[in-house]
Amino acid sequence: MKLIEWLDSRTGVRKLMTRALEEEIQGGARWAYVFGSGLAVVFLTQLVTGLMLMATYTPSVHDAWSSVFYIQHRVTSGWFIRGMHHYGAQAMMVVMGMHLLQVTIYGAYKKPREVQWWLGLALMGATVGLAITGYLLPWDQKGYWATTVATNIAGSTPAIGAQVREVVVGGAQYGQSTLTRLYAAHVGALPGLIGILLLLHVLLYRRHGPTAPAGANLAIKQAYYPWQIVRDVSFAVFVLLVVALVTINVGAPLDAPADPSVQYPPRPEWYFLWLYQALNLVPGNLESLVTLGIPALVGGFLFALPFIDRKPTNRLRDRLGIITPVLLGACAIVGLTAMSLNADAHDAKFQAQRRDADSRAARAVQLARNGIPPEGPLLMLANDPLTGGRDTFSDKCTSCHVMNGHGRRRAPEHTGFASREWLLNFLRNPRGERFFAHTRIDGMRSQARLGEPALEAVTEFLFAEGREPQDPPVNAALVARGSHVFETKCMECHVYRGEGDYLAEGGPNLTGYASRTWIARQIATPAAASQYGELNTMPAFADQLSEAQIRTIAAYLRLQRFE
Amino acid sequence: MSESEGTSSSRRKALKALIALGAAAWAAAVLVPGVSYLLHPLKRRAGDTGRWKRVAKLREVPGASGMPVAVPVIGEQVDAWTRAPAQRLGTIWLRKKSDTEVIALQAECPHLGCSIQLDAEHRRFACPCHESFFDLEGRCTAGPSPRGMDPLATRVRDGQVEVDFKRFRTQTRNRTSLG
Ligand code: FES
Repeated sequence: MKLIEWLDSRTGVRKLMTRALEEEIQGGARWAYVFGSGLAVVFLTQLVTGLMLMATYTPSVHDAWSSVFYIQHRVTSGWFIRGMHHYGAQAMMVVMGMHLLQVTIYGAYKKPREVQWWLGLALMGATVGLAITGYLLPWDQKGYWATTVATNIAGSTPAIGAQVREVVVGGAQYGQSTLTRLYAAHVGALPGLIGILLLLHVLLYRRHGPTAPAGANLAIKQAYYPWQIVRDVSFAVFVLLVVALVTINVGAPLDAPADPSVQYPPRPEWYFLWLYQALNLVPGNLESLVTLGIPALVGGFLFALPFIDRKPTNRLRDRLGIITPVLLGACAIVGLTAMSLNADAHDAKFQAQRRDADSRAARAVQLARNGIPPEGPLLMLANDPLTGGRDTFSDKCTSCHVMNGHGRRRAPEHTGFASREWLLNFLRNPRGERFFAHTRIDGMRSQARLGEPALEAVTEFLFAEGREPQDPPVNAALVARGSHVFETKCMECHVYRGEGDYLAEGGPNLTGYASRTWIARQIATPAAASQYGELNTMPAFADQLSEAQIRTIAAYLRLQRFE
Repeated sequence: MSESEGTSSSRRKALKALIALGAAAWAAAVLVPGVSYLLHPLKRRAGDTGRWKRVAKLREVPGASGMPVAVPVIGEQVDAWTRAPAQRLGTIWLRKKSDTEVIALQAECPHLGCSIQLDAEHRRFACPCHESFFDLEGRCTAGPSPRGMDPLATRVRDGQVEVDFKRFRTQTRNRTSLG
């Protein structure tokens, strides 16, 4: 207590506190007044969680995604801090909407509160800025593409658009400058601006007090503390509880690392979906009318509201001309959002792309658990057979090879390539639909005459050629039998361990068949003597793809044996 | 709504308690995870298994009568989210004890972690920071260092010297390895 006495004698803090707390509210405390303080509490929470995230997050295009992964999956409680920040941001948008509606309906923008109202609008703008910039920071697909769209919208501003876009992006291309600039805005400029605006907004609020609804009994007076504050605190705790529950039950999402070369179905965060949907409803040449016109119109209307609605009364019945467009606007936002969600739910293509994106994200997280190379998560994914290998395969190979139902059938199908089933069916009918039917290779006949047991043995023998130490064991007895059949029946045309194909006009060398080395050789130089020689019609990829790419496709194709 | 609220002091008290409770709930929800988040580095991690690092060829290590040589330790480094191959992890001083055994000493000074250098003229090690001196076996002979240089286990495989590379807490009499 002595300490407080001392502090009070030096600062007058007690009087200040008493003034702030004992101040009376004309017309009494109300639940309708809780939104502003609720916003302040959520903002404070954002500051605290944001500072904590800054202790780990790294704004570099090579590390941003990785550091967010690290926060989400490695650091103690990191998922919670990040979740609170992520959903806290969304809670701010919602509570901000409620605050705006309440203030508009109560007519709290009227004389003498115009400046307070404008400060509030500026705060809204800065908060939207925080939401947009924060979205990019994980440098994942979602943020990357949403920002691409957002900055291109800014770029469609008449006259100065191109310059605006380049200043925001930090150049013509998205990259390190974009990330660093938006990071500076997100953690420095915008929170600082909000801090100042909020201080002024609150000071004016304390000067004017809340606007009681029409017909309230102004004779009733209640002190802020505890009457209003208990409502404020309850509401703030309720909001944070919702945020915490969503964090615990859903968790903040992290998409795959940003990759401009990968197909992605971009969508803005849900609170911008209405604008996105409005964009879809108008013809292309009217686009910037929607993307820039609507926000400008809404902003302009709200700014001018204190001048438009000058009647001193705040009775709803007398202000229908003002309230109706506001409510219609709110309904339009809800309706457009629902339309957009509904359209996506019934859009098969969007759903398929979304599924791809989700499985890519899950794979990236799975790989990242073993550590991310210093070059960043994109290299990690590129070197992953199931990601980079599959991507390059569908890019380069599906024009001739079918894989999992995709691609053209001009050469053997690769679904289940070199699996036991694939090999057995190949031996039964090499010129079948799935194999050489559409190639000019017709020298190999069906081996069915050897009898099914022999075919199964040769299958096991060939299957064993591509085996790696960590693979499940093969049937050794069957391999031995297969090896015998192979030596007596197949080596007239195929080389194996330096023997066979004495006329040198047969099929490929089958030593280590369908091993990664063998597949890589086939991809790089299919016309080599060890492969299909003169029978080959497949393009050589040695100079189209890097060695690492070929290695990764080979690893991907080798995994087909386990399908 | 406001009319129904009396101003009785017991009611005021209850409301004040409620407010305090709300503030406490906020603090708990943000600060408890926050503190555990910030204290994450104190968590002991499972030591990584591939500790043995190849550092030199046995025949290139000076004999027992010669002067130790400094060699860099190169190995995989796990740093936060990054796993980087072939990073420089530190420096060690190497000298043979016998034809097949090698002594390895951490070059990091046990005092405050400067890099210990060889003072060949006086056949001793010297730390340039605060003048700690060590003999060629690593025993501290003078200066503020609380203990001798930190020895590292070595083994020889296929003519290559391998070291169990570790780092130790500075400023303590006893050796505690870090991580
Ligand atoms: S750090 Fe070596 S003597 Fe101080």
